[in-house]
Amino acid sequence: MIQVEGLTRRFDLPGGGEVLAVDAVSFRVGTGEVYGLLGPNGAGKTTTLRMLLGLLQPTAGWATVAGFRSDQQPDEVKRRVGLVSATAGLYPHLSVREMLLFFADLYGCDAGQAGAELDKLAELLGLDELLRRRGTTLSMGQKQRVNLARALIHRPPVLLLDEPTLGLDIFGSQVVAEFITHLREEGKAVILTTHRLDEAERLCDRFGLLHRGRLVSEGTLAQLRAETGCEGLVDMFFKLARTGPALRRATRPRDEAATDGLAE
Amino acid sequence: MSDQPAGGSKARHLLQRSPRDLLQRMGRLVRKEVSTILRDRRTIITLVLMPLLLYPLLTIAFRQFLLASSLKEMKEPAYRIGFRSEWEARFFDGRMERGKRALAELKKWNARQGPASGRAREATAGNGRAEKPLPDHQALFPRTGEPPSDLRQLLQEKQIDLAVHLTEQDTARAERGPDRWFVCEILYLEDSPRSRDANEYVERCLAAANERTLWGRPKPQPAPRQPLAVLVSPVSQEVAQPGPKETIPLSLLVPLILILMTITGAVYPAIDLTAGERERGTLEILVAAPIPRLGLLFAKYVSVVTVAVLTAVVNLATMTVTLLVFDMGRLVFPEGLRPLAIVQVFFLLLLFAAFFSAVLLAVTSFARSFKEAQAYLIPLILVSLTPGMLSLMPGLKLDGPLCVVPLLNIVLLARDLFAGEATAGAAVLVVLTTLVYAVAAIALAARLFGAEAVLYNEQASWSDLFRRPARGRRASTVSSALFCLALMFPASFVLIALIGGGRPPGEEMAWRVLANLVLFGGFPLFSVWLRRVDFRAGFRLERSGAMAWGAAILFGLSLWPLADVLKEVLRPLGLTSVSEKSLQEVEERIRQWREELPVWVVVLCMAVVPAVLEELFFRGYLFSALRAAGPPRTAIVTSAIFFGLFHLVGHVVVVERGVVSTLLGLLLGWLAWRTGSVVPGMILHAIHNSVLILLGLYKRDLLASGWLQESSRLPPSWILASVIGCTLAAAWAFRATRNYKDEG
Repeated sequence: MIQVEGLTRRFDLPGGGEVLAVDAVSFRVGTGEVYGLLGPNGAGKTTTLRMLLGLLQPTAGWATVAGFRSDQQPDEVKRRVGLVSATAGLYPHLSVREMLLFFADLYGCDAGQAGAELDKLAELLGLDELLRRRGTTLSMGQKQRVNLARALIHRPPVLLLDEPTLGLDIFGSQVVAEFITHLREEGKAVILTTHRLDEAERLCDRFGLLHRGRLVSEGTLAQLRAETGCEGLVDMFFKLARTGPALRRATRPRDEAATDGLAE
Repeated sequence: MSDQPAGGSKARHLLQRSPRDLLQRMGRLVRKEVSTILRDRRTIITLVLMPLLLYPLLTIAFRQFLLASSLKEMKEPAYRIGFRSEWEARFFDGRMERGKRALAELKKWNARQGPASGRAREATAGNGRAEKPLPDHQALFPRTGEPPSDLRQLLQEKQIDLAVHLTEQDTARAERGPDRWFVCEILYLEDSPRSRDANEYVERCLAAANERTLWGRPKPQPAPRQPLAVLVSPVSQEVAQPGPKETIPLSLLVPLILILMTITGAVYPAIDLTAGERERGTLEILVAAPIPRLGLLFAKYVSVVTVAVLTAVVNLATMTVTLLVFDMGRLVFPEGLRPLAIVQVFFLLLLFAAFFSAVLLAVTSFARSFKEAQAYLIPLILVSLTPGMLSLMPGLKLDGPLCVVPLLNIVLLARDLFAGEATAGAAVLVVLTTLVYAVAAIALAARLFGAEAVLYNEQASWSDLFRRPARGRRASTVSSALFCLALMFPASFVLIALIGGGRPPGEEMAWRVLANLVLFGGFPLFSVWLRRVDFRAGFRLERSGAMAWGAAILFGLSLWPLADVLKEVLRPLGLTSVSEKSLQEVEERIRQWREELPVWVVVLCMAVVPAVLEELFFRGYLFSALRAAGPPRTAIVTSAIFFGLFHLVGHVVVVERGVVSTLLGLLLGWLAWRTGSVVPGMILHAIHNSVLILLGLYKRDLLASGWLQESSRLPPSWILASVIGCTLAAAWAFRATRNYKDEG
């Protein structure tokens, strides 16, 4: 369903020079699979997702969703993808129902179909009581539930979840975790980026570990354990980051500083 | 779960739907944007509360000001009226007394008849001031022997309120008329409300006196006319205050307030729909939807314009109602508050809203947060206020370069519309200029809104906009080309003003060549360099083959009689705007050129250089940008319209030149498309220009030798030859380009 090959992105820096935010990243995600794209701040996770969605043009390489290249047919890709990010907000002066129907319309759903989907999602995510309320009156957890519904309203086969639990309490995180399980059962291809490695360990089928723009290791938890000899993702990550090629090259503090907040 | 997205069928999806569906979707997007904006209380404050408070407060303040300034005048209840002679004063007094008696009787009659007698009420009302007691007047006249013009001076010095002069007319030839008939010339001061009131009062009294003379007593219904006695016909004339005016005319302040309020209305939506969305995190999910980015910008633009226009409408309505309720129309505007002027000013505000909304979107698209957008807009609004304040300078006339100064031109045109003094030429120029600016601002906004740097790069800066891209491109972008055009348009006015008239012919030629080089060479060259556009492809300097050149030469030689015929066709339609006087001035100028300069210099500077450079820009730079973004017909038509626009406006609007140039632009665009090169167009254009210049230079010789006739019409043989020549040239061009390959 998702294929990424040699995806690379450089950014020009103010005052000259450039920074390599994503460096020849390749991976695949199949239907019904949850792929954890993990890495610290500035690793290139969000930039990779943006290129995958056709929001950013890659400097080199390519990505496809359901066979459509994101750099050549971004609208075909966008139609098949639902995006949830930690920074996504709500319209303060629209009710939850108005906003969800508005996005359904943007994605080309007809009104009847959108209404049915809305009812289904409201039941799934417990939004019934929130549908009449405006965005400004919702708590953080409620907002994130609305965002999950917004990403699914057009029934996309692919979900990109960019730090979906950031800032959520334990109950909010649990809703997201159950939601991801539901997506897997529905046969969606999911890419999840997160800093919470324990959560990733619990939810993801396969992992890609990004460090300074490079995919330093990829595989199932068992494969990663065999490769690194470590039990948990935290230990694996520290080990891979110390021995990985990106770290050995990383003697450019300026690039690192510039990448922070640029790619993420 | 299938991989197919919602609905299953591809036919249901946005991009595969018909343009009508897409438009409907865009309409819903606009509706959502507008509804979110209108639900915000900040919009309601700007849209409704501010106008509701502002205009009544301004009116009250103005009335207080008027009251204070006319306090001195009010101490003199009697109107002071100046005459040339004592006889005139006595005679006038008699008529006024008769008129006052008539009005008093009519008032009594009205009171008996009740409120229904409309006409009679009108006769006594006089702008609603009938209930006040009729004022008195005091006759003044200069010392014997002083020239009559002193009356005007006394009026301007405000020593009198009116100057009156009676002239007896000859009634001998009238079969049925008065025994004696006087024309009463009344001079009043246009800026003095008291003087205007005095004029109205005198006119009313004289009219009542005339009615009493004609019908015995004033009656509400017309009675058969009887030849009788004396009539005095008032003829009023405004006198301007000499020297600089001490106060800012309100007729100027009102359009400025309207425009500032329109700006205020557009500011909040522009920030909220761009920087606000970014800050809230809704912009990213919006661009992640399968809607073209330009479509999103368009929806936001329409929303901002809608709110701005709503603000303009509410302001215009509140202002109109306030002026009507307080009966201030005639105090503010010399011609009173005319419905037509209100409609015209509304369309002007609409145009301004279209322009300024695009400017606001361009600026706010770059901001990452609400605060940052506000920080950008404060200097923008201060800069915008400068031309607005300049427009308050008394005596500023809307012509020449002032027609192209943004905002100033709109304020001055609105002032002229309210005053009923707007000229069609200036209005066309202001509208066209503002449209060009609006298009350029939209193009810039599109470039900014779609820029990755603006959407995702937190470290983006304004300098990113002007940084040369790492990778080159074959053609410029449409937004760059339109932005270039918008800079060139006012620059052309500055250059025309610099060249001016009255320079020696040699100097004039040098200036003209320099102006063309800067305008049609410098601007696109800088743009091509800045955006790293391939020089040869960006200017379409490709080889076209000698066959195409032949067709271009034949076209160039054959076209001019058809252009002449077209001008003749436009003349009866009223679409010609060049006066005989202007034509004579041009002929005189050409005569000077011939006397003082070699012919080849004139042809080179006035025909060849402009032709080559104009082609380089319109069919080279602009055409390649348009062609890279759309079909050939769009590139041909759009480049031709801009070509015509540049020839339409200069010192004055020359309609026929605009029409002929647009049609020539269509031909040149077609040739540029078929040949894939700008060169044949350059040849055609240069030869066409040269023929016209040579005809002008040798006009007298051609007339003398009988090749041309004195009448403005060309002989049919010339026109026939032209048609045959153009037909052959077209066939030749088709044949020469039969193997053309569309580069798009």
